[in-house]
Amino acid sequence: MKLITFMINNIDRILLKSFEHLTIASTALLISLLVAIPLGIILTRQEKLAPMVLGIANIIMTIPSLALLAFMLPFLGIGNKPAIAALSLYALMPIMRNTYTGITKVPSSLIEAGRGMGMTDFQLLYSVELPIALSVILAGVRTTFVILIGWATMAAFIGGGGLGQLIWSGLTNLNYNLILSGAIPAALLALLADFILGHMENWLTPQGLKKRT
Amino acid sequence: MVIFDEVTKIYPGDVKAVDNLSLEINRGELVVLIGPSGCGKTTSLKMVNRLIQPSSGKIFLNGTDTDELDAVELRRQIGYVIQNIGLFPHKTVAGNIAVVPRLKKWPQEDVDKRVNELLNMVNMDPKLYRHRFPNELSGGQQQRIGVLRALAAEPEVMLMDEPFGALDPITRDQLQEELKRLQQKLHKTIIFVTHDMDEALKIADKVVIMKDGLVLQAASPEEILQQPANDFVRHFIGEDRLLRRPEQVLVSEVMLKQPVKIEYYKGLRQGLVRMREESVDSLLIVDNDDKFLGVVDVRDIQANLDNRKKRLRDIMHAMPTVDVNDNVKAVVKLMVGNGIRFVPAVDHKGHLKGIVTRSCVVNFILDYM
Repeated sequence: MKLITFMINNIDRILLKSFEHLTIASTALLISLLVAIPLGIILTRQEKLAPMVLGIANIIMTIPSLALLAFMLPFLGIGNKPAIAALSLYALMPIMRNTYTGITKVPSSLIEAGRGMGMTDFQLLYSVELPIALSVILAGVRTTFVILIGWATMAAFIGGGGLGQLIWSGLTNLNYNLILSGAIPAALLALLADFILGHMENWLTPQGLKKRT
Repeated sequence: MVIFDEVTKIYPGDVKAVDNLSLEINRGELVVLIGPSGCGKTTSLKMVNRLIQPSSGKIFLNGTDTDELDAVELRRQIGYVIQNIGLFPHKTVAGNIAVVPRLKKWPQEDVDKRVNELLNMVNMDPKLYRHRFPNELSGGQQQRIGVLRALAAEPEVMLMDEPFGALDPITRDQLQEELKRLQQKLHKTIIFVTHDMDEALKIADKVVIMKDGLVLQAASPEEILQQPANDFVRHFIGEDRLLRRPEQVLVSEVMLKQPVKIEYYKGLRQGLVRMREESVDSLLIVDNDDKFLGVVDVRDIQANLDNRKKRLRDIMHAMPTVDVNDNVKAVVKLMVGNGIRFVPAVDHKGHLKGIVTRSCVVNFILDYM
């Protein structure tokens, strides 16, 4: 009961931090979408590069998050910028990989049919490959965003704000109510994001590709 | 319409997929390329719309060297049906059929009209099917749409790469019939690849049999059946399909090889015993050297049975014979012309080799016609 009273009393702060949190995670996602999807597409055209680029992105993912955040400090100072940069780097890998797999999994018969009917490379990409790969790409986006919301709590370490800030100050003061006021909204945000993106995925998947009910 | 001029395709590793192919395909002709896998039939097909680039040689479409055309433009002029159907799962039936017209930037009205027209052509109600997705159709319906999609922008030339290969036999049969029906109406120039000889014989105006990148024979189905160019073609067609005219079948192939015969010097009673043993009513009379001399039938013997001095040679009568190397048509003519039930078959020295009876002829007809 004390927790609920505490949260209601601090609702302004929690909402502000939630908003900051969401901003960090979604900015990172957006940047990484802009980079990773084109990269993933390029990899499908340059098959030889794929193992190398996907390998590098894999290595980035293995760097401990705190260490990666610390790496950003000398270049981007403190605040939410280095946090966003680091999170974007993390998000690259899963989105790029899903884009790449989604497109390479498009049945070769469809590519042949499209090409044989006189589609240009670009027409083939936007009217055949991307629509068919869309659900795989979106599934990648969805899991990545959920992970980003979790990892965004780390941003507080380098002065990036967000719900992590409530958790860290709670930890230093041993204030459990404060810790939970950060942790619970973060978890809820993640669930909500998963729910919304799940629906979006369903909505954007072309009807003919959905399983027959 | 489509001319292959000394076209060769060599794949990396020095594999000659197509070897110096020269072939002329006339307007409105349905030409089937057939052969075992790896014979170069699909490669030949895909070189027409430049999905595969020839290593050397030229392909002409309506007199224009296809290399001089933009590959994308070229493909939009040519209908293309692939083996795995390849309908776009995210597009409706109408969307799939409309692919090439849209690429060619037809006005939407024209596209809609064309889609309805095509669906009606294969008796699929546009109201019912336009908005369905491929996964809501049966395999046969899907490939019908595949064919319509290729026809949509009214190409003069169609390439069909084993289009019915993945369908069950009954559906395949239906689609072959429909293709024949459509072709009678539309007179497209069609290059059709298959490995199914029945399919080829059923639909083709011309069959091109390929092996190891070479054309072994290019001819009409009748011609191929009657005169296979070599043993491979004969084997590939399958002996049971070979349609042979009576002129091409030798007496030696249809005759009974053990005629009931007896030496000329034997007595009448011996002849009668022989007939009884063999349950026949006629005997072929031969000399010691097996040369045919004549024939005796049971009535001749009965009429002369009292005369003990008579031998078979005394009562036998002559009858026409055929040479074992004669053809069946000559035999039938002889039998019908003379009203006889059988003809002895002899070799060039007159040795009796067999007998052709009416039932032999009937069996031949049943086997080969």
